[in-house]
Amino acid sequence: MRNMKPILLVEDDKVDAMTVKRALKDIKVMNGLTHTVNGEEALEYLRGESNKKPCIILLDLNMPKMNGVEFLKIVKEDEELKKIPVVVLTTSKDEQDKIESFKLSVAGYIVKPADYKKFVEAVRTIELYWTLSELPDGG
Amino acid sequence: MVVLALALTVALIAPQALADSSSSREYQIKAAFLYNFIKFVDWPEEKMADSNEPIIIGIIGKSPFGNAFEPLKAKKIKGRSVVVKRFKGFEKLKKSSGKNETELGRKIEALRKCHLLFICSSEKKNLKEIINSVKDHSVLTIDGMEGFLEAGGIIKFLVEEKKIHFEINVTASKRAKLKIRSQLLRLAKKVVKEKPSKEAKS
Amino acid sequence: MSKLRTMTIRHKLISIIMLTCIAALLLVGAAFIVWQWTNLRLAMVKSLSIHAEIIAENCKAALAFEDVKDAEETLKALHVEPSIVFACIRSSSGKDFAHYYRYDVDKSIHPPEFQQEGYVFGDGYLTVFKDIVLDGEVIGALCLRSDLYPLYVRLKLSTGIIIAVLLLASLVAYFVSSRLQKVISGPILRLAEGAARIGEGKLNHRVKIRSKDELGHLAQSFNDMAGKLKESYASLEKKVQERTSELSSANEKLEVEIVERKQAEERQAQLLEEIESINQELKDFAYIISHDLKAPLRGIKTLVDWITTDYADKLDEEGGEQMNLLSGRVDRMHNLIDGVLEYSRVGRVKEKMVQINLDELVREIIDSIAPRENIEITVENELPVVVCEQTRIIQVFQNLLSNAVKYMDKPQGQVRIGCVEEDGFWKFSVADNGPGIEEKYFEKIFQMFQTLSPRDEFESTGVGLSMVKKIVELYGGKIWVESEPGKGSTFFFTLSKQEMGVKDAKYEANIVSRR
Repeated sequence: MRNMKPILLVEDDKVDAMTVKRALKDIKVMNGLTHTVNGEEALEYLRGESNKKPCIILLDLNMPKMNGVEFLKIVKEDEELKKIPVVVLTTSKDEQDKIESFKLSVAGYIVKPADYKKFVEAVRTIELYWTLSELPDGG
Repeated sequence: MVVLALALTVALIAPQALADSSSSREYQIKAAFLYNFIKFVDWPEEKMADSNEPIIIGIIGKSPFGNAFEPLKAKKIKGRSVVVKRFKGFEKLKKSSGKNETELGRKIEALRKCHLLFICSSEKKNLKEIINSVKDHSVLTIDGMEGFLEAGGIIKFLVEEKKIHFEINVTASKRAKLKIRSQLLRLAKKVVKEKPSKEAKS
Repeated sequence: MSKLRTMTIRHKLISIIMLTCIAALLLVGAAFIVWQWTNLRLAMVKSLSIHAEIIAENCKAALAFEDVKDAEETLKALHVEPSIVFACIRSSSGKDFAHYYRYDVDKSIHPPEFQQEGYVFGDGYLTVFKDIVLDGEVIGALCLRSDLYPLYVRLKLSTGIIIAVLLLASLVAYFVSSRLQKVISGPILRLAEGAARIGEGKLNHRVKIRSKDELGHLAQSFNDMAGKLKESYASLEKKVQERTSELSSANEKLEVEIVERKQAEERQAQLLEEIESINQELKDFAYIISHDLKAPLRGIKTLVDWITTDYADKLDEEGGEQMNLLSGRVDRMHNLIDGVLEYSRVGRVKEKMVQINLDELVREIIDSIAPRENIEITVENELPVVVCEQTRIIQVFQNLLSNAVKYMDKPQGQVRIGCVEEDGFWKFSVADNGPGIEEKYFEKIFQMFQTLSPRDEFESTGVGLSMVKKIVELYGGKIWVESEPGKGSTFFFTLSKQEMGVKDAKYEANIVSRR
């Protein structure tokens, strides 16, 4: 990423989280990674004053307590938070999920590949894209 | 034929003079009348016995008829033919027969044989004699002279107003055993009935 | 005419009798009048002729002796006969001889033309001509003319009498007929009344007519009919009651049936609903299974991958072997889940029936399998065009072909695909020269999760053949295998032509090939 803002990862599965972290490390992304296990926690973090606003949110959909869609809804309501680009990173191929996500203005929807190597490629693509793409300041 | 003759006669009576030599109308009519009389008179049986015998019309004296009977000759009356016999005047008859009684008798007999006897006016003198000689022999005596009927004659012609009439002596007819039909009697101008006391003497 | 219809029997009868009487009377009257007319005329002629004779006889002499006066006197006698208007004597010369005129007659009237003896009716007069013959000779002719007054008088009288008689007779006829018509109308009215009563429903009513004529018979028949009617009514009533009770019991049964059927239908609907919901549940279930069961597998795979990578130096050969096994098991699990899911979807998930050219499809499948160079897959004859669910037929061929390829043990592998028509079925065959199968396993291989070789040798879920069997049987066909161990195996399966729904292969081929 361009800046040094952290990346917020909202993911409940430990292995999947590890995969993301590992993948980021593999592609040498230096941004910090904040990991929350569900939507609630993620919101808490985002609202937390002392917390740095992330430059991108990687969001899983199937989570306990508050799932991705619910989280998305709330985030996109928030004037401040909705600026943050959200990329859905999920196992679900469900058409309905896709529709919901794009309705809620996600920046991207990536289905987690089963293969780790492919996963790394996907993360690299995200990283490349967001390195290129510019975000408004003040976030 | 007869019709024509009669018609002619009737039509001619008025203008023509009676003195016509051949046949005056008067005598034509009289001739016709004579014929007609026969039709209305019935003779006794003895005189009419033989139907083949003709009916005899006798004319004694000077006949004024001329050929008035000509057209009537062919006529049949009561189915018999009619014959017209001319007789000379009574005087002449007597004279011609002379003293021959039989001759006279014969001639009188001939007279008596007639059914009709027309006595001409020339026989005026002998009128009674003639009538007497035939009066019982059913002879219809006809004359036109005055006093005829008184003399015993049966029918008397008379001409009045250019019409021919006749008078009938019924008694005389009865005497002669002749029946004259009432129709004829009716037509007669006068019907004379002799008084019963009076009797004609011959 | 309509009036005639509305008249009562009584009036009709009276009218008929009256009309008949009057007609007869009129006829008689007319005949009588005509007869009288004729007779009167003849009498008149006779009378006048007699007069003429007498006059003629009496005028003979007058005519013969041209005594007009006498003739006219004779003629005058005619005044006693008031009807004689005119008399005339003409002489044989044709000239008028004497005349007589009735007192009131115009004397200037021309006497009529003299005709032959005889009589003539004309101009309201009778004229008689008589020849006057004297002694066989026609000396003239007499003409007498009389008016027809007496004739008319007599006729008027007759007519008057006849009319009077007619009226009287009509009156009498009326009275008599109005009495006598009862003989006919009485019974008829009684019959009519009887019919009306019975029509009202008083079936016990009987008509009493004692006469021995047709009306009596009619009454008899009528009464019989009424009796029979009563009987038949009674029996009908009974029958109706029977039927009604039958019907009502049948009705009850029907109602029960209907209720039962309704209940059955409701149950059916319920069941359908349940099935639907079950189906839906299964669908969801399948989805969940596929998704949630697979999730941990992914995690395991990843970790295995990382361990293999990160601790490669710490793993010895056995360790590496175990890791491989672990990974393999994870894959197997994945395939099993997919296989079971797929198996469950066969028959449950209905796809659209489409026409498929098997030649083309099989070629595609062969391409997708991408066998090794030493394996040759050939299609022996032209494969038909079928109508079926695409996925299913693909699964069938794919499974069989991939099996043939996978288990090939010969250096030159040969797989032959064929099809023959048999008794309304297509019999497909997939024959290989692989290892073959022992007879005792012919049945077993089609069972779920059955494999013949250990799974570690040939990675297999054991689902494929059972799924193929399920699909084939779903389409009304059969699947079996003929094999000789060491030589090879031939898998046969039949598909019913009717199930497939294709009638003319060539025709269908045209359609499909254009797609």
